[in-house]
Amino acid sequence: MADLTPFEKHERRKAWAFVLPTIIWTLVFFVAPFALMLVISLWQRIGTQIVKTWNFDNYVNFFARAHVVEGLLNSLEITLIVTVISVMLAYPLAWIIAEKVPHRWQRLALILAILPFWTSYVVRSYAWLLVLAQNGVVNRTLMGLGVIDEPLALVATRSATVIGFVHFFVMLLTLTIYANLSQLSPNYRRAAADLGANPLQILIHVILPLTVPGIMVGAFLTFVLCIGDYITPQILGGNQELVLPQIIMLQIGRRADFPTASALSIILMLVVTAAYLLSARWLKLERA
Amino acid sequence: MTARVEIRGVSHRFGRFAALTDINLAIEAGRFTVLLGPSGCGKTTLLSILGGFLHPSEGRVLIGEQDVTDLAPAARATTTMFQDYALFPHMSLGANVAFGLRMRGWPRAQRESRARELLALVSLEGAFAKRPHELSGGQRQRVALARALAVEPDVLLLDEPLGALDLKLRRQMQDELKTIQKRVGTTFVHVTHDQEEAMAIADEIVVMNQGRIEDIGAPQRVYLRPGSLFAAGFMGEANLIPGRIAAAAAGTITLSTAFGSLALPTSTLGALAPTEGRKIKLCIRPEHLKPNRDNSELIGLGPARVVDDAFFGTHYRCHLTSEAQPEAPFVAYLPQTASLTVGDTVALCFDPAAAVILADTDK
Amino acid sequence: MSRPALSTVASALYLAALYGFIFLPVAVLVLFSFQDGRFPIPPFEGPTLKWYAAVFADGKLVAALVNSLLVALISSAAACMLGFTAAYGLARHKLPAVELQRAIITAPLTVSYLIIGLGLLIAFNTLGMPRSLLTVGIGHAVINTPLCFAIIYSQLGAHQVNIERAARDLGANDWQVMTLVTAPMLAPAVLASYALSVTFSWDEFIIAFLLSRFDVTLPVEIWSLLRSGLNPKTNAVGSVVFLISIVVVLGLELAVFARTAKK
Repeated sequence: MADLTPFEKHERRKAWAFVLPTIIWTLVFFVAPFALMLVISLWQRIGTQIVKTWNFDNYVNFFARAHVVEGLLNSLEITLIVTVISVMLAYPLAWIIAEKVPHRWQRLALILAILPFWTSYVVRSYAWLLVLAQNGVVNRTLMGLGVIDEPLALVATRSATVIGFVHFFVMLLTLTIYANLSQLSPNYRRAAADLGANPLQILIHVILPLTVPGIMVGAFLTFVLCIGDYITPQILGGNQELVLPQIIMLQIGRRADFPTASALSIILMLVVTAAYLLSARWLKLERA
Repeated sequence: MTARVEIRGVSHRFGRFAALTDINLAIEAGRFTVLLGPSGCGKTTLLSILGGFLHPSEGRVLIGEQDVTDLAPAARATTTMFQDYALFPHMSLGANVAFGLRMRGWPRAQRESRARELLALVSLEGAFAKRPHELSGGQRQRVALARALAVEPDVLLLDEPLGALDLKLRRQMQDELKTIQKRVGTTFVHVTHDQEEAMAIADEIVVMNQGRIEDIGAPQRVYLRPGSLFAAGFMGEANLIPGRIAAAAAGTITLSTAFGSLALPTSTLGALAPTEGRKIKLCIRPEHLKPNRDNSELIGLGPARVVDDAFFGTHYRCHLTSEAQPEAPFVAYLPQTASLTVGDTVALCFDPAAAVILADTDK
Repeated sequence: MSRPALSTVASALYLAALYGFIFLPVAVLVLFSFQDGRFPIPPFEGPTLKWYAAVFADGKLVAALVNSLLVALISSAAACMLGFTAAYGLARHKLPAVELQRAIITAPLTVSYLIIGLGLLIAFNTLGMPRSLLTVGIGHAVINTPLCFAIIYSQLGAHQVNIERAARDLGANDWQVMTLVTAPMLAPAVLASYALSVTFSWDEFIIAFLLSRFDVTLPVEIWSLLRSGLNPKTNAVGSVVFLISIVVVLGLELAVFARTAKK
């Protein structure tokens, strides 16, 4: 590399002055705590002390404790169910807003579709508690219509958690899929129509393939946010089937067992990283 | 396959704006017709109406003998080549070209072989498996052409397809389009704002302005004998001398202008009625101006001073200020051998047979 | 023309069904915040404003609301500054290891908030630093800085380099270029990232929960309200938060986005 001129050296020093504060901030408040967590995950809590045992016991014990493994499995199952259902519900919604709603109203339609996004996340889950409660709207309506005699136990079940999640992620996915759809050049549809494709064929052969990036980005976000969420399962899911975040919070809250909590968090992170690697192919948005 | 296109009384409005007003046009089967005009003249609107993407506010469109005005694009015997090509990025070139055939239910083997034929027609044989993003702009355009021709339309509509290409590539594609059109015999309707492109490829040029047709004819006719002031100015550079018709006698029209009385053959009138006193503009193309009267046929315009000149390769483009009409300098194309410098005064003349008398529609 | 009509009807039905699903909890929340009775469940009795009065009379809730605002506004300002300076430095000058630096700065985006909160909790514990609104603010700045950075960095395009060069060429010094040219050009991006950060911070629960003790933010306070079960007062608080958010979002929409759309 050639020597830099004094001007270039000066410019470079200025650049470092701009960038370094943020880098240092991130190192201090993100990388360091993370490293600390890694270290602690290799220690153990014995009695009220954290003992530096330096072993992988926490990780090994993970597989030994059935309820913890179950927690991870619950997380995965729920997340996958939520992702699939949310995509299936959100795609037609995004498609209708992008294709059927007149252009003037599209922005409004989209804003309406994601408006409940803006309630507090905690409040939103609480609201579902209200709706699904024994004496809540759903049960009262069903009983009033004569569909059921006894109120359904909807709260404190996996279904409630799934409903709560789907409600949130349908809005998120509608956004990402709509963004993808609205960016497509209208000439793709016109060319396909011109060449003889009917609306269903246009959807299958042209639009669906070209919206895969939007779906994948949304699905990945859904997966990551859902699997790491504590609030919705805690409010709606009850105490029977815990998910991993709930188990982690138990370690922190009740027992202040940071080593175990750290180890479990690292495992959670590994799962997310695995998901990222699997879907990385689609997340590199190909410029059409 | 090919067919005749007829446009009867087509008008179209977008809200209050009249994009097209009473368009009547007949295009013979197998012709390469170019719709030429500036942006906003309605040429693309007309093309969209032909393709079925717009339903005209008034009027009918006939292809062959069939009234297709109410038919969707898929149902018409037209295909459109879009300005941004609109190749399906997730499909191979072969799948792109075969798309229309697939929609018609052709079995795979047949449509693939036809796709290969067409890719060979546009000089892209062997590229069947490639993807659009691997190609250059010119190549993508050829694929778009192949895809449009695969379904053997009666009429191919081209929406400013060459706009994104550089000059050399554009010239090449113009030649290729012409060759292919002759080969397949389909009626081509091509939209452009570039008059040189229009002249290069068209069998017939339709000059449009503000939603109306200004002039229709073969390139030579529209250039050398434009039918309107707008057409004259749009087809190329033109010197316009205002004047009036002084007299119309056997074989000669006399005009009164700032350069005095000019006697011109009646052929310069074209279809214009020789009403005495009528306001006209005399159109003289730059290449028909001469710097000296070396031929007794030429009519003199008096002395003129060279104000600037620029070398354009094939000719010199000069501005000359004449004494009789100093406020409107002339544009002249002088041959490469002309040895003139700024400041020279010449005896400006023009070839009367090449001039055109046009109705003065300027306000 | 029965086919287009059928798909339009089906679309309208689907739209109605999904909007119904999406708005159901919010509608129930708001409706029963006016419940004149002990429980926010059918049948609806009322309406009454007594629960809203109870919210504003509740000192802890009001304090939590103020805390949320403080933390959101200040931590987002910090995140914006950090994001802006880093984006500007990396985009404008050729530094070594650009990719690595970008990766470090945007890394927090890839990690769950629970884990970030836990890491900071352990770190503050080890340092002997007590939990407070300050620690919450730090946590929120950590999660929002990569966001601000990404948004602003994406706006520092090549075409803007030329505009800045032109300004320099005409005699402006660094400070003038920054304040008179760059900052105004980037204003929409900076505003957008600030607004987004405020939104995320304002609503954020898990980090605030882990890193606060006595002074808490609104989501944490609402969480403790949930302990008391179904209560119209919680409905009222939720509705207030919802209303504030909508007003801010609509205000932004009209002020910033509608204006840029007109250009």
